[in-house]
Amino acid sequence: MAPFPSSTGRIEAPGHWLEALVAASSDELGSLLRARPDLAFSGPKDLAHLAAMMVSPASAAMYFEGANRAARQVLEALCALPVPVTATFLAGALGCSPEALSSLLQPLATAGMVLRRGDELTVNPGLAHTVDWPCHLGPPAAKLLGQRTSGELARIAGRLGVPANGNKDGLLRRLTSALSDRELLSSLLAGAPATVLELVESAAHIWPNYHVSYGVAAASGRDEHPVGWCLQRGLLVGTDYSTAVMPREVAMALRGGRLFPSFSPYPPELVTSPVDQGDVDGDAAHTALDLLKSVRVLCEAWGSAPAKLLQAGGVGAREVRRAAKLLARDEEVAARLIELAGMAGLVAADETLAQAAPTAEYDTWKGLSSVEQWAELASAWLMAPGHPSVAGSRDEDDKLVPPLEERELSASAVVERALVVDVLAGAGPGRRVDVQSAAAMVGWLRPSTWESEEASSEEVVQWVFEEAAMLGLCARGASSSFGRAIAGGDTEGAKKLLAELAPAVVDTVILQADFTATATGEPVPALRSELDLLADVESSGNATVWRFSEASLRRGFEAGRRAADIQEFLASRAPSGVPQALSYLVDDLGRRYGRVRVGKASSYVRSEDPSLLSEVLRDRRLANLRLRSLVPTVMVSERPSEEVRDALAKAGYLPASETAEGTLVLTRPAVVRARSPLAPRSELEGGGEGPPDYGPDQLSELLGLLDDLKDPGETDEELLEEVLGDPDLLGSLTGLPADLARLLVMMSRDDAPSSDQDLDALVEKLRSTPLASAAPFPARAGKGAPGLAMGAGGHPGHPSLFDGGTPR
Amino acid sequence: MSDGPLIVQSDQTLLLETAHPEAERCRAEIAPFTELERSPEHVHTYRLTPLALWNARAAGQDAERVVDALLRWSRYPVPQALLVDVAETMARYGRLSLEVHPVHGLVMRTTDRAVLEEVVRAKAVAPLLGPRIDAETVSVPGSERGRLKQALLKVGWPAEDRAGYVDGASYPVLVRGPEAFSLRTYQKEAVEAFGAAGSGVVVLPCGAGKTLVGIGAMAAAGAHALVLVTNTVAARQWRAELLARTYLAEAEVGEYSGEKKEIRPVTVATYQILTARRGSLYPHMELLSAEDWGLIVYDEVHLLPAPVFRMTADIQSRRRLGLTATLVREDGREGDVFSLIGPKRYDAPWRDIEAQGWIAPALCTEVRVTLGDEERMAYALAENEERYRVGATARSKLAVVERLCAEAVVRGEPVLVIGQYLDQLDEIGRRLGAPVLTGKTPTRERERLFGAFRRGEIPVLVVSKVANFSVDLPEASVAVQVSGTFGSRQEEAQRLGRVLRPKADGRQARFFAVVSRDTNDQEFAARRQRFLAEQGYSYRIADAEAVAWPA
Repeated sequence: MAPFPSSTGRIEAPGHWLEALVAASSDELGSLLRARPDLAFSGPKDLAHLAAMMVSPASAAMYFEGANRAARQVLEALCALPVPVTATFLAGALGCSPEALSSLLQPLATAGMVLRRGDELTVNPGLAHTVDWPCHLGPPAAKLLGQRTSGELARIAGRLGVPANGNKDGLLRRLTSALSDRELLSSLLAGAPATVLELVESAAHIWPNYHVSYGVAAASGRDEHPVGWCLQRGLLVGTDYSTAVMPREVAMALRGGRLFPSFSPYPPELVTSPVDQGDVDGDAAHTALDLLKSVRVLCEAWGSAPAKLLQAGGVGAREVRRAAKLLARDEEVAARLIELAGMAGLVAADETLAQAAPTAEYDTWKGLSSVEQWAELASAWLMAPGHPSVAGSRDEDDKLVPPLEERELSASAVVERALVVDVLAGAGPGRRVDVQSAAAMVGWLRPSTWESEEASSEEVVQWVFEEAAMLGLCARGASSSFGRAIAGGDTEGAKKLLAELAPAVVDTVILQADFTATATGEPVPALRSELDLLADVESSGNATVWRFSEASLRRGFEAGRRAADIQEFLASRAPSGVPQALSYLVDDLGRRYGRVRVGKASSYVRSEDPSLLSEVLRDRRLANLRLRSLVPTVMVSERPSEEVRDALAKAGYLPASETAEGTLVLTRPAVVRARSPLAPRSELEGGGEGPPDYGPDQLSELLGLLDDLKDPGETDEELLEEVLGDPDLLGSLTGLPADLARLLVMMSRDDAPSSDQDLDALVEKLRSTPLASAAPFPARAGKGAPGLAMGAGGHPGHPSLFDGGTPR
Repeated sequence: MSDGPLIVQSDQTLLLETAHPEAERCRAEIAPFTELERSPEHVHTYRLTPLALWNARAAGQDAERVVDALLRWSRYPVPQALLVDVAETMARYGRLSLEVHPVHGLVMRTTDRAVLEEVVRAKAVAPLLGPRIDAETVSVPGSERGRLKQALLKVGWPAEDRAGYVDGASYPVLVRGPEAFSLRTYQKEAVEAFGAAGSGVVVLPCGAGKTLVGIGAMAAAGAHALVLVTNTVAARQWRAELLARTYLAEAEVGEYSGEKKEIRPVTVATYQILTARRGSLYPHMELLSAEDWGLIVYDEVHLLPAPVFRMTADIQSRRRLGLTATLVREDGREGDVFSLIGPKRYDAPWRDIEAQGWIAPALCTEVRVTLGDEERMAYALAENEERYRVGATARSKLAVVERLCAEAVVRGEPVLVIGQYLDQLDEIGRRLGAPVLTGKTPTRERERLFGAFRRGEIPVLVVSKVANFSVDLPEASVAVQVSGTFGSRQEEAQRLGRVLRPKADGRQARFFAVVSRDTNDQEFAARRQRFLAEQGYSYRIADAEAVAWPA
């Protein structure tokens, strides 16, 4: 079978991979598509097309990205070992038992990453491009030394005590065999200087490349130099001006035939301890509801007095301290909370005004029940392209990272968080998870995610634990029942569970003669907002206690409530009755409210009652206002109307503001709103099931990339479709991990098969479609997938992808 | 989810729904370790404070029982942090104790060496300690016993005082037969609880018979006793009670006041005379050590003046009984009461006593008077410091006061009119034809007027604020307050105490406060209203024109 791509621009799979697919049962094909969903999503036309995609570098790389450490090590080993490889030999090279290995090979075979023919194993050829340095090993000696002149080889042979006669191929074979000879190497190194041993050690075990800044050629002549010493003996071979590489065989020999210093076919142990799930749920519900309260308090505070932004952007330490004091939380936690509120789109930094304030979205959120509010926050966190805890942590320069600072979106954060949450939730009910062992576990589950991360994985795991605790997804180190539900995508179930733990929802209050209103549970939003207007919160938590005062009731009148409205509201919400004293107070204020009216434009004060006005005029407490009388019922002030009104109010006159036409102005305390950087999210109204809806517009905004890629005449949709059709391209363009790219692809395709029925239908279609030809593969010349250089040679025998699969 | 009557808030308050069928049982369990902050009609608020928890600890409760009670009665999950806090706070009491060592005398001993190391290094504590004896013990100069307890409380490690008491000079105080002296159940419990501890505070509401508890304690001590009271009238009343309830003879009970300086086996002294200064000295403070007192009773301990605290620190080996209606002090020195007098030993639930019929429930009405134009002008023109007086003494109030008094007289209810300004009181007295009793009224005349009022010979008595403290007017079932700036919590408790005494026929007590609308008189009324409503009194507001006799 010819290697791919073919000259016609089509990619064809080596024949035995296709044969394996043709031989596979429906179940086996279904398993393959489940293990590698990208294959199903790209809409294969027939089995040949599927086979071609299965061995494509993009798809193979995506699988490799998502594989756990043991699977990756097996795949790397297969890339490193000379073909043909038997399972027994592989087990020896890995240092594990054949039985343990076979449990690892099974899923790899199912996923089409390893092809088994008899005892022989072939690795998916697409991987060759992903795994550059399998097992941190250099290229084979034959390949490296083949580049050198016969003269050079003869000199090396001389030093190694290998006969230098004969043709180059023979010499290469002899050299390779000598360099693979453990005993020869150890006797060679026995006489080597310490610096050489150090160099050899590092090249053999850590990384095969060695950078020689002054040039390999210059070094090669100098035996006293460690690089030169190695070059002269073939332990390192120059590949370009400044790079020397240790041949694969040398490193293998020095490693004692083992590919990895440590290999375990099993995941690390997750350390857990028992904890009472009831306690966990109780605590988690508490912290979850506390968080909502804090977010509300923060937003209300910023609504009237926005936080100032630093010149460089973000909310500075001073504002964070202010918020921390307001919320009675640590500064670190306050910073994290602000960042989280920002990620949920509830607060935003407005660069033009240099301030941070709540968004319009906050107003919608505020109107939701607590349980809904929590679901919004928790979902936003689960999908947030960044770690909230970055805010408030120290950067490389030991500076505090300010919250709401513009930062690069970190898509890997989504994956990292999902992994940690999965481990936490996966430990099951009543299990407290040890953070360090969780870090080891997530490192094992997805090594590719963590290797690129700047912050150490343990720090990130710690962050996710703390954030999850803040949101109530876990408490006491164990996942909460509702946390497990939302992490598992069951938002409705999570809400139900939380609602059972949260205080009962109440739509009535108890009014008492000491002017308090007590809601013995969670007040419905309408009740809460009206009481917040008419009274001041005195205690909140499971229950809320408000207190009415003249000042608080005046807010109600200023917002346009009449005494009768307030009476009616109180009567309808208080089954135990309205205390006479409170009722009296409302009526009394209603009678007095507006007896004195204050105008804004010219700042006048007028009243129907001349004696009242002359009383006001002569009131010593109001002397600062420099009021003067115009007519017995009107007077004016040089002071701004607000100041006049407040002074009158303070002196006990209950003034009302009025317009130029003499009608009352209804005022509310001014609140500030920032524009949300995210478009309003549809699921705010809709109950928010499943992942957020990243439509094409949002994707383009999120990625901000499409304009650079656009070909003339191409529409946005076409371009997007094209990019999304190729997760690897998308991944390489955006720096997103292929996993997330895959997620985006999945979500962007309406026709993507998602249910088991869809998959079964696809399998049947593939099996029934005749193999007309290899189908076109959407490779993008120039921009896209790297070219392919390595194909697998043809092998005899019956290929089988699947364990126990027999050729049909 | 349990359906308990209690809601535990993370700000350390506990809300108790009184209509809940389990409310009473819950209240009985949480009251010992909380402070009742307010008890209006439907939801009572209790607060977990360190002092309340330590009081409970001193009474033998442990954290486990407190946590249990919270968990059992709470309707919603209890914040974990709060439970941890409770346990930690309670564990701090008693890690240190004061004891008598056979060789070294008074010592401070610990069960926790780290705590001892911490406190001996504390700046406020170190100067009060003597030499170190061993890793767990440090000696304490006897004179520092009180100050050390104060300092330890301040650093958060209150010590348990197990150093015992001197018995004092023996002197039998025999109580009379049951017709003259019999203790109600709760009074008996209070006497026993105190007796077992040797020092501490008994909290009983006004009118619940604190004097009898004091006499009971004296009888149990059987030693020379000193009673400290707030003023001379109260001193005379104590003396009269002692003579009536016990076989003590006139000559055995002394009065030590501004007027008399008698020191007898049982002596009643006023705080006033003790704190009277000559230069920088308190010459009468020596009274505390003049006799070998076996018991010192502090009446109205929440009013105990600071100099008396200082002297009390020096007499920690004497038995001390504090009597009060409330542990709350306006000056916030509740901790000093705890350290120097002792922990709370008995606390009768006010509402229980009321339910048993010992205290008449009171109906409170605020009557708002609209001022005339001239009065409003006068108020607006008044200087700041004069403004309250102008509003409070408005003549518009007189008509309604007259009307209320007339109504009460018709109904045969004795009326007390209480006010702050003498001009106003004199005018009311003239218009009502009622005697006026002020600070200038000689003691003899005062006693005569009180006597006549008690016997029903005078239907209306006008009194200034001298009537606020410790006078007993058992037949006053109506009080009309015409002025009073203070709005302090005790003053309200005192005033209401005047009308709260049990009535022979179980009639309802009525309390009227007449205030001027739209003046700061009304602001003070708002504070009073809050306090009374928080205490659970029925409270109404009425316009002067529309005020009806509350039923």
